[in-house]
Amino acid sequence: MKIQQYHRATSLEDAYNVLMANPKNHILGGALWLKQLDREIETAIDLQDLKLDEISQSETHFRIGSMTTLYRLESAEALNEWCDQLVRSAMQHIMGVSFRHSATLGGSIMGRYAFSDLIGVFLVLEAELEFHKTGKMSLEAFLHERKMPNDILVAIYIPKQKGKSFFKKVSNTRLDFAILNFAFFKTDDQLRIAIGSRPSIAMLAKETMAFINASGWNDDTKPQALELFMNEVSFGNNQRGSAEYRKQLAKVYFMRGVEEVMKGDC
Amino acid sequence: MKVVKHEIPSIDGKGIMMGHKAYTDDFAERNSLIVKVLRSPHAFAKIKKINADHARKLPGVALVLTHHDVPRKPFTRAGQGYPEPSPHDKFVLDEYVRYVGDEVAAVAAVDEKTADEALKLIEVEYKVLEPVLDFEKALNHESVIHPEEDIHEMFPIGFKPKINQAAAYHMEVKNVEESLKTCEVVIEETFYTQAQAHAMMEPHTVNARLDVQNRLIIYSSTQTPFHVRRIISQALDVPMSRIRVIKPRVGGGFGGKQALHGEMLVSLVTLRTHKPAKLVYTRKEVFESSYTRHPMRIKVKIGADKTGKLRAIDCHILSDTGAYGEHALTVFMVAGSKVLPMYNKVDAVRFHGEVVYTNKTSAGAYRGYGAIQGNFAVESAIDMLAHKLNIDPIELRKMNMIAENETSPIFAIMGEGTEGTAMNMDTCKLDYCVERGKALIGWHEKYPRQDVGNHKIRSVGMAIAMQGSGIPYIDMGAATIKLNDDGFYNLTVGATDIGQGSDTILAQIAAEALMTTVDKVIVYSSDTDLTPFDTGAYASSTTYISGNAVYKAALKMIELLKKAAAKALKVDAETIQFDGKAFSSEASESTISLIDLSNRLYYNEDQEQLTATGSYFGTKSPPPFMAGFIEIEIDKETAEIEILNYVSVVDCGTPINPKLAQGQVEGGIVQGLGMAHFEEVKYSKKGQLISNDWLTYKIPTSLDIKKLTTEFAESYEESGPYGAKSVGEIGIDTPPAALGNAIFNALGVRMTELPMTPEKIFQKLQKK
Amino acid sequence: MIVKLTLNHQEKRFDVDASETLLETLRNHDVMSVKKGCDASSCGTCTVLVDGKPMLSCSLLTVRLQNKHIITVDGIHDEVEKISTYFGLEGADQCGFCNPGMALSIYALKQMLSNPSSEDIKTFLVGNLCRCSGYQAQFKAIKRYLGDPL
Repeated sequence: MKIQQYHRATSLEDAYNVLMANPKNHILGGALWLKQLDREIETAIDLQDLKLDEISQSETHFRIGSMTTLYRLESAEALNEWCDQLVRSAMQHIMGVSFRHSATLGGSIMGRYAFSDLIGVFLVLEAELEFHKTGKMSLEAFLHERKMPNDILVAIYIPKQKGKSFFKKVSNTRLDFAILNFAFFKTDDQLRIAIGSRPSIAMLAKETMAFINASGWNDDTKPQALELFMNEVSFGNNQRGSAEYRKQLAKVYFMRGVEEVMKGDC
Repeated sequence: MKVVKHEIPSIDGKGIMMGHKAYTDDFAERNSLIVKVLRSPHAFAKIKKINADHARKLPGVALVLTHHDVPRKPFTRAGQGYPEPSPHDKFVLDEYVRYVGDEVAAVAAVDEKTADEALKLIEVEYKVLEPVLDFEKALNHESVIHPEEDIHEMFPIGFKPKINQAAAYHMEVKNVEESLKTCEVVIEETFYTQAQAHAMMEPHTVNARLDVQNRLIIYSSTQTPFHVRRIISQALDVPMSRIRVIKPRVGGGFGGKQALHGEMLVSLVTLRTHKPAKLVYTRKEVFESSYTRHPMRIKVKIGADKTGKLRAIDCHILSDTGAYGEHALTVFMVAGSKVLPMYNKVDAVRFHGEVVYTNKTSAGAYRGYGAIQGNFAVESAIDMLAHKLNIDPIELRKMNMIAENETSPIFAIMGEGTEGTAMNMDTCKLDYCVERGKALIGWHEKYPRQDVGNHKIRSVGMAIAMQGSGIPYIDMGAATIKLNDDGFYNLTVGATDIGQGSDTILAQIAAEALMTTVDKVIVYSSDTDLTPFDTGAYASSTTYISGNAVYKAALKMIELLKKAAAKALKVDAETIQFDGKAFSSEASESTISLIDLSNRLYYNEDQEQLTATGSYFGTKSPPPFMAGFIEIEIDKETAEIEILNYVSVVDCGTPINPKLAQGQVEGGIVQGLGMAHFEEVKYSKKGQLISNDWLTYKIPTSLDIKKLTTEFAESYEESGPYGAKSVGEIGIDTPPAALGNAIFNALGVRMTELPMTPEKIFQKLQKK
Repeated sequence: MIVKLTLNHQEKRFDVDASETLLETLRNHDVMSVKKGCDASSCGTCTVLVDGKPMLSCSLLTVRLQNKHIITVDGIHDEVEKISTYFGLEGADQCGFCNPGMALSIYALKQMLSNPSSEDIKTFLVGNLCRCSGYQAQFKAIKRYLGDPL
């Protein structure tokens, strides 16, 4: 990794203009994985003066600035209270505290890391991304975009919805990337299920969600839901685990996760 | 005892935490040339052409070294005594590269950026050769990893490079095949142990400069400064007298810094450029281009009668030494010699096998040094036997394991690369360790398993282990004690503190003998110009070997002090009494304090420098013993494991510093659990190391271990300093077998391959 | 590029290029308490405090730290002395390479969490790897330090 120039942006527009000026220019997030990149950056653009590290809330939404650190997210009381600690549970499994003091939510999302524990969480919380030029886009749509938007992520919106959560990361040590991760969120009427590090990036199990939301969760529907889930989600091999073992984990934690968030329901 | 067996804080812990310079790179000259190494992208290749002209012309580049520019003398980096039991099969740089990460060339430049740029300018044309990556196919493979004619063994070790064999060995007591035929029960199983990375926190680091006498001064992060001096001299053809090696504080070694690393290249840069130079391995280089634990395939046969009395053990091992043969023979032999004597009542025992070359990162010394591999196989097989006989595995062990005052013929037969040394177990509290551990883990209530609901099972498992205390007649340590004015001492030792706390415990031994306190004994280790010889920090030798040397030096110092006091008091030295602070005599009314005596010696009368040197080599290697017990909680559906408790009861003789000894045991346990459970050096199909950073090679974190319970047996080894044996390695040996046995007790599947990851356990469950 | 920052309560000006990390800057200026264990944000030996928060200096670009306050163990001498005393009493010192970074994380833990449970402590320190100790003696020492009134 080599950086030729450093630019401290004075406004989003300024940052945007510099970003557009050269394809080798790059927005800095927490820069934690930056050194592992074998590439040259012409101008590194720093957004730290743009007050993008704040969490605010309206009646309907939380707005999380893209430069908000992961540590700040896990410490955000109101947000975690709303989401039944789902954000905190996931964050606390990501590297160490000093890492999470630098790592930003924006960087974690823009990296679209396949191993990410956090993307699944934000999927089930129905996160929406706000880009400087492109405007708003759901996180899910963003993950399906073939080309990364050549734009600056400004904020992440989370609708305020009370619910029950379940998070599980299966890994060989507490600091390792997940073999598989699970995020479940159940509001009054909606269950959402995300599964990540398959080893592909996190996805919502939409058919399964729709089925359970329509047919309920009982001894009759459980086998069908599980079958749907296993058909809908694809698994592969990487050095952390085989597809076969991932399937086993998926079956087990699908059942445990749904049971957990459905408790007291139905 | 007033100092020994007391919990003295580490003498340098505070200074290190407070940030004072301590480690090799902290002492590099500010204007050092930065040395960087061009490494092979191929697992096996011959360099057809190498052109460094462009790199040499780059402004800021001081030197480029290729195999054309270095002396061609075979040597071994192993860092052992001389002559080494490792083959001389390495060149500073060679026309062959034998693993991904092997050295192709080195550059020295004014800064890192320039050095990196220069590396890119070196043009290399390789003839890529078919690599040998599967060690079970290495023997007689069509690719010969070491075809060169000028390599050799120092004495017969079974070195046959033309068939990719680095070493081989065979020994048998009575006739194993015959004995097995008479057994009512025979267990036969093949076990595999993996390569483990040392993963010490401080990367391999070296820097060099010339002093005003034009001598080469090397700072190295090494466990063996005296061997480093000798090997550099041999490899680079520099007289040993022109080399000084200083070992500052070492940030962890675990055997990985017994062998040499960047010392040769950095020394050459400084010798050729006359400029200071330094090399700090990147973490990737530490993983890829230093050393690993030897992977092994271990075939075990154990035969017994139906009461559980062991009759015969047969052990065949195939060991993978990687690209070079550092410690090839000796690690493999220790897999037998520090495991098989535990079951000394057998009628017949055989140990044999081969060590092969492969095109992978070289294997080397690693805490446990074969014992952990052998222990996993034998201690798993013992539990298999117990299961087959329907005997509690603890009872089976108690029936067969070695006890105090007993011996094993293996001690005399197997040494480290040579014949061994017969010895009796003057201290062996293994029976106590087993009983105490059994109580501490709650074996009675917990064996073999409890279903705790919620898909979880709790189970227990155990294993016993032995290690050694230095290598008899080979390992040597020396210590010099100097009296200063004001009555305090310097203790200079060649022994090498690599974090195990040897500076502290050697000071304790000296202070105890000199009847003073640790603050009056100023320790300095180790520096080939200033400190006496010591073979180094390996083979669990420092407490026992170097500790004995310190003890002997202290006794000599007391004699010198008494003589000097006798002069001062004008009495016969025989009559002098010394209590550590003052001298008195029944023949005199007057007394003299140590402070007054030392001031008298340096300023006033009968002036004389008092210095005493003690040296020691072992005539035996008293083994420490331990029993390790694990309690786990395992998920029946996913095979995820939580380690709830690990109980260690250790007979290491007297723990010189109980807290530091506990740290040695617990550090070993956790490193052993890492190996047992998830640590693994992984390669791609083409031989590239995949696990080359902390993200891909995981070591245990603070959250992975719930509880460690560690106790010491009361034990006093007469031959050791204040009754001490070694404690540095014993902790690492039991976790693989204990965990494997606990998994069997929980789920009824026998794990035969390390690491025992949840996925592998799950696969076994599927096949059950 | 000139960066002005406060290092251990003293104003400093460093001339750095854009790629330089704080770890490099500090060690180039003889602050040897900050260790390079991996250079890849994953071991914790290079931990420093930036405006009171523990961060990994191997991944912080020095150019981004204009006007920030950087603390290494050299800047919280008295607290580190206390931590190291408890480490000594518990026999928690081994090779020591992780200790300065660990001390800064422990100090930050004390500032940031009140009445942490054992699990909280372990979770907070999980990013500070130690290969020597098995962590147990360290936790005993840390608990004693946390019980020590500031």
